[in-house]
Amino acid sequence: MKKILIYIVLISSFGFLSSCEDSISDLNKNPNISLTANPQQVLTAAMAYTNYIVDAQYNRRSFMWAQYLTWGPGVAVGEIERNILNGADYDNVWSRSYANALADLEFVRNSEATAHSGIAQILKAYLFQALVDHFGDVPFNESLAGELTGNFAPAYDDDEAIYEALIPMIDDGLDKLSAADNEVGAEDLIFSGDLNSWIKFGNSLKLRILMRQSLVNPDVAGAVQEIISNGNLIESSEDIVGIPAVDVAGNQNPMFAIMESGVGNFYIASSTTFDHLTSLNDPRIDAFYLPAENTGAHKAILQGSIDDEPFTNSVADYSQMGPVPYAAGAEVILMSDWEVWFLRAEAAERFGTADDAATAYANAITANFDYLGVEGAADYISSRDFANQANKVDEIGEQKWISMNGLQESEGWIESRRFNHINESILVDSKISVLPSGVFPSIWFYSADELAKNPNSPNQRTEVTDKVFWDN
Amino acid sequence: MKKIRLRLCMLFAILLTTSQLIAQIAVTGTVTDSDFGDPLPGVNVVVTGTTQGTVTDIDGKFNINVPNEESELTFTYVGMQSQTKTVGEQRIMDITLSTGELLQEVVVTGFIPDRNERQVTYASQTVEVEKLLSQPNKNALEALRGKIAGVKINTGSGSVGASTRIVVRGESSLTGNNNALIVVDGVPIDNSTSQGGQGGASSGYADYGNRFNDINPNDIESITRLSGPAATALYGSRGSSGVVVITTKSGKGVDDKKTMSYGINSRYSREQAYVLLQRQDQFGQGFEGTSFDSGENWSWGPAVDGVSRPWTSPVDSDGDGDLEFLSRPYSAVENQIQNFFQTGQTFENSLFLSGATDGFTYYGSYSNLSQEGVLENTTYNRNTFNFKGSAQLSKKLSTNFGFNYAGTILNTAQEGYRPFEGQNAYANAIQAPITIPYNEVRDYTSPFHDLAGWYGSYSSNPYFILNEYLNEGKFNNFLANLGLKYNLTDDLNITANVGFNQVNRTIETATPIHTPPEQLVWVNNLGLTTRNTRNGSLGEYSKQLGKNTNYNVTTMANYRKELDSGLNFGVSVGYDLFDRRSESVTGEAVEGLVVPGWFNLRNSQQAPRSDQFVDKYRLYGVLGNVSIGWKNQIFLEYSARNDWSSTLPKDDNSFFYNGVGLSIVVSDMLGLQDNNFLNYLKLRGGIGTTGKDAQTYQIEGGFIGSPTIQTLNQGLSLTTPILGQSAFTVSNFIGNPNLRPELTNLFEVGADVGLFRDRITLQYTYYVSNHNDQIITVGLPASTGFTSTTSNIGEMTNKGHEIQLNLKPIQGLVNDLKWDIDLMYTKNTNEVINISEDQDEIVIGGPYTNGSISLVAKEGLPFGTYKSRTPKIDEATGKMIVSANGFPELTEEDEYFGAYQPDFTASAASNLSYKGIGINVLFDFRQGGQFLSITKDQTEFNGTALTTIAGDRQPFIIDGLKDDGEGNLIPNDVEVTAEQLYAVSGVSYGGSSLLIDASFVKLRELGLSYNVPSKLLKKTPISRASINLYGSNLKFWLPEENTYADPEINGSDLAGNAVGVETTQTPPSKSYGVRIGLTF
Repeated sequence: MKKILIYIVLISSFGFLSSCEDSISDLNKNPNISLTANPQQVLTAAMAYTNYIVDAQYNRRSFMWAQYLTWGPGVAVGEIERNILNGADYDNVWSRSYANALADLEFVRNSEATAHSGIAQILKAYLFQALVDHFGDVPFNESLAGELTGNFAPAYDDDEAIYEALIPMIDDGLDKLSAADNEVGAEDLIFSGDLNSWIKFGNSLKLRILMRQSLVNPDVAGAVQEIISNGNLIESSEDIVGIPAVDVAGNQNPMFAIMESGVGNFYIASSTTFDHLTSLNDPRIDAFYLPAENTGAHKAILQGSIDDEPFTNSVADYSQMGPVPYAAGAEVILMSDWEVWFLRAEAAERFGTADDAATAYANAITANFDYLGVEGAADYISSRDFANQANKVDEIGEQKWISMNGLQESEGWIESRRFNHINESILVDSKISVLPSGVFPSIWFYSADELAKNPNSPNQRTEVTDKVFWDN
Repeated sequence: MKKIRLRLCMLFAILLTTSQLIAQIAVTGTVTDSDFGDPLPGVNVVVTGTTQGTVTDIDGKFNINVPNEESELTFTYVGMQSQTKTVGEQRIMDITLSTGELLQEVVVTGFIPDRNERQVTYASQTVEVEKLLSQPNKNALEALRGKIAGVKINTGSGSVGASTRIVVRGESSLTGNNNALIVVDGVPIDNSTSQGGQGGASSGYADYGNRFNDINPNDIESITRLSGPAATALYGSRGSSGVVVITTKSGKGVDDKKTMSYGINSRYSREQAYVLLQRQDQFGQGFEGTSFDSGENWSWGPAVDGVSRPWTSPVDSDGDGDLEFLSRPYSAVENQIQNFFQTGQTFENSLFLSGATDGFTYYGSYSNLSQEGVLENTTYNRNTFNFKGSAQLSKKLSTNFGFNYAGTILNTAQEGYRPFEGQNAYANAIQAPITIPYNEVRDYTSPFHDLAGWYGSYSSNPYFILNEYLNEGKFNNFLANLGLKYNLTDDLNITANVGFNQVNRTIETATPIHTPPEQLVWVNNLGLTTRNTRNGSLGEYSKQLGKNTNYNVTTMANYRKELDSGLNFGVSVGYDLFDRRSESVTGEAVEGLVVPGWFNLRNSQQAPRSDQFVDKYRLYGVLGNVSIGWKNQIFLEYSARNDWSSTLPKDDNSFFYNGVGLSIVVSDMLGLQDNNFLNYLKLRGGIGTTGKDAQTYQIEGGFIGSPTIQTLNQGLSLTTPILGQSAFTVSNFIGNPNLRPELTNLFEVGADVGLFRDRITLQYTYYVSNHNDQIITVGLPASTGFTSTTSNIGEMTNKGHEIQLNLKPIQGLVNDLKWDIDLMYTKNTNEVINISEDQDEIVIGGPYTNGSISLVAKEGLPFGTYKSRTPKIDEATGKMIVSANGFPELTEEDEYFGAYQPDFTASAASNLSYKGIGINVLFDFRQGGQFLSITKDQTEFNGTALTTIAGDRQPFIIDGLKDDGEGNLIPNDVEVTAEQLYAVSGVSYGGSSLLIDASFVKLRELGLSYNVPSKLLKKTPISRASINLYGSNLKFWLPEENTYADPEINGSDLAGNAVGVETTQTPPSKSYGVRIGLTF
């Protein structure tokens, strides 16, 4: 009898004991996440996001507007080929950029590890430039501070002002890299801790940012000349800023992975690029495009004209993306040596720098041939006869646009906007474009999700022809 | 508990009898049970209005002395309806008691000692076993349909073992769980739902049900619904979405006498899919009205002509180098979708043993339910063991205890509306053109229907999916409880209860390796073309092991005192602890499988990936209840509770709430007990508050690590290691260290009325609940660096009426003839009052389909309102505005369209019985509300919906107005075709065109039963025998526009709030069966 009473008391007291206040608060520590992290691991994540953003989002959404590829058979033609945009399509790139890559980089930047912090600054500048180049005005000064300041509605900053702020951001990164007192290792997926390569990337990125403004802001000339004189830029294939890929789930080339999932890769060669390469007798054509699987011969079609092709045709009847860019193990290039040489050629031509424009131009083309594994760069360069080109800047732009095919499609589309020559004499109207003839899309719509949640957002764009500040 | 009460009553009665001194008339008689005609021992027989009484003996016999012929005798027995009869000239009174309304029955209240119906100050409703199991059902929640007011029951699928969601008195939480808490014998059970597959409404998921399904319905004695302050005072904040209290059977017997009975129940039923989808029968496979294409899933082809044409891909089926194929007349296949299904069947066998001896009662049972679904290769098998006992250990100490095990294995099919990924059999089935005969493609290994021969260029053979894909769930569910009660004095007792529930689950999902070869397709004029568009897979496999454990301890001290002045009062105080742990480990194959047909992590192409998940939660509370009663006529009750929750910030984790209730039995105060018109009237009312804590882990964010740091799109995700490097990412969630508990204010008033000597009884309740300071997950703009946080915002109200009416129109008119009618009506009006300063709406589901239709909680509208674009209407003429291409022009902004919430629901049940023969009918009725039908979307897309043949598919002009280019509206003159409009369904007419009236009338139950009279069984060892023929879901009456799906089967996310979204789930079934029960 008494024993039973004791049991009652025991049961009761067990309840009381196990419910003391300290222990229940401890229960609310989330065991599924870590409350701390090292900058090393967070930097790796940021680079993986950057890899996805640049290739699966920017490059994949630009190759049709750069007219390297056009919509093929298998799936109803997408709105993007009509130059109609839907904000929801840009939710992914927006949130992966801000809420993932940039948020992670911001954490790394704030860490004690100076070298990692410096790398983070350079990558942040890279990603913010990409945001501006695609969207125009975006949140910058008040962004990424949700947890710190409780500001849940960041204001949008003027695109030109953001560009101005990126140079000091890179300089801060470069200072940190020079003064770094800690080691960076294999967590750096890009350079495995080679800080000098990062310094070259930082310098080259500054050159890109400045040259992008060259048409609207001639005052950048001095700064450009200084960068060229100081040197230490991306010059050779070892300096290419690239994130490698291997054929293991989750580590594949992001564009390849996304296009192989679902209905598969149904994009085919656009005759805009294909015919242009043919007219130039450009030997890179076989690197950029595979012959049609069914015929063994190349077949491209007019931009946006798949509905005019026989209904029963399949992708195997057309040329598709070439083997170098389209492979599970293809690296994603953030910045290439040929891009930098093209920038230097243009800078020499526009502003008169320490470089020789023709040499830089030849270096650029050679670097691109080499990367693609195509022979005959020298013959091709001489066939272009740079010295006698009427408009050397246009020639540089045109060759730059060609060299971005399959490798840096987004940069190809961005530069096609800046070098109006490409729009005016090479690109054609998509057959199903809703825009007037000769008018090309020049901006992305804002993320619908961001607009719905941020009361400080501007209204959604209505014109796909709005321009970023540097786009004259 | 009931037993003890019974014993007290009996003692009381016996004492009274022995003290009886004077008696003029001796009356004897036998009391029997109306269902079986068996004698009932232990019935209280009391001279009405006096304290004189006796009890019946083991043979149901009694004798009693009454003062005169005007005296009335009242017969009462627990679980049966009381009866009062005037003695008159009778000296032998044979009384039949029947089960039925329990107006005077004790009400289950959980931790606080049970009380009688008069004392209860709030609305509660109990469904007893007889009504619950009027005929067998898939599970006890399904069986509740139409039998309980104020609840909304939804099913996730018509496939085996699917989940059932129950919401009491409307949704109360904007983003939290709105499912009622389920309590079994005092233990809040784990009622989580389990899903497998890719996990989305679109791409495919398997519904493994909720754990309530594990309860053997035959073990249930009663189900009580509690809501409002009553529920929360007892069960704490977990009860704030309402509580469903289940009491299981316990041993029955007469005290001090050994009794034992045992028996079996067996049933067999056959199930047929109730296909509600109607298809057009005039246009066959192909497109553009003229082009035949034997690979198409579209029925936009030529009009059917009955001419024989090939319908399978040409293949070399016999290896002779020539191609063979099957032909059939190009015409609509009759019963096409019906024939896709098979006839399902269910066997259920259960044994029970029940009895009492020397203060010890016991009940034990075993049951097996084995079911084959209406989809091929879907099965459900459940074994349950149950033991429950109670013991009077000493004069002061008693105990009760129970142990329950359920083992369930189910093989089900994936649901989800995207057919072309090839996971979802029914979604593929409804993609078939009207010319494809399902009864001929069952053999998916036949050369004409296998991966090579299958007709569809985009769809998969659904029988291949059903038979070769794996969706298996195994559940082991243990439930144990132990209670002790110690009577310190006659007035004071202490009770302690411990409950434990653990569910272990194993869920395996696999997709076989398959690579469909290039296909030959017939086109116009029997030309052939090749196509390579069919879905293949490298093989997928995942296995999840999970364990959920609930643990509950409650200790109460109860004091009851009756004073001579007619006052009585009771005080209960105690505490309650609840602890929940969930954990799971999942492994999945990466980049396909190596060996075909071997589903194992060791068969992964690349290193398999694993993940784990842990969740811990604890809440403890101190509770008290004071009640004061006067002359059994007026009762005032106050209850209060303070909870401490692990999910709230450390310094602010305590919250207090309380409520007060009053009930007045007006009829007794006015002395109307014997009034022939109004014999019972009770008024009751209550007001109170409830606090509710947060979900777990809302206080702080952190870093996400291995294996998946972010899902991307198109099924891709970012996993670590990345290129051999480990990675952590900053969580997208910002924790909120300032969370406060949610606050709910509740108010209800009601009346219980008995008319014409309880021939009509009515319960009416009006309630208002206001849910404020809701803890809501708030989406953040990504530019903040995060995507969500949690915050106390939002306010929602529910207001409603509940009416239950019971009629016994012919009671007492014809001996042994009973007619019992139950009518029920529920109306709940829900309104979202406020979201926050910055937002007036949050999305709770979607967007779904190309029509981009979402479910939102928006200020001023009911919870779950649909929002989408819709055709623009010219206000002046009421006509549609049409764009230059002749299509309806859609509004730029989303508009709002109703919700799934019904205007009201009602039911009508009738039970007629005569000498052991019974007929039961149950109709269920729902008026109003809408559901989003993705079946409509899919069948309009593929040209099989009835809407697609309007105008015989001739080009037509939409009756609308178009802009003439100068801003003037002129009549539309642009021709369009149905195919152009519908083959992008949901887009042309906006997402709102997919909303369907969710009203229905259903003949839910129809049954015939026969209880063999005990006379006939006298020479057998059988004491009771019954046989029951029954049909369920025999007939639905739906609004004309609903030619698509059952409005009650929807919601791919049953724990969440996205109900009202029908995503081509497996349809419901009609069921016909027979049940036999024998007791020895």
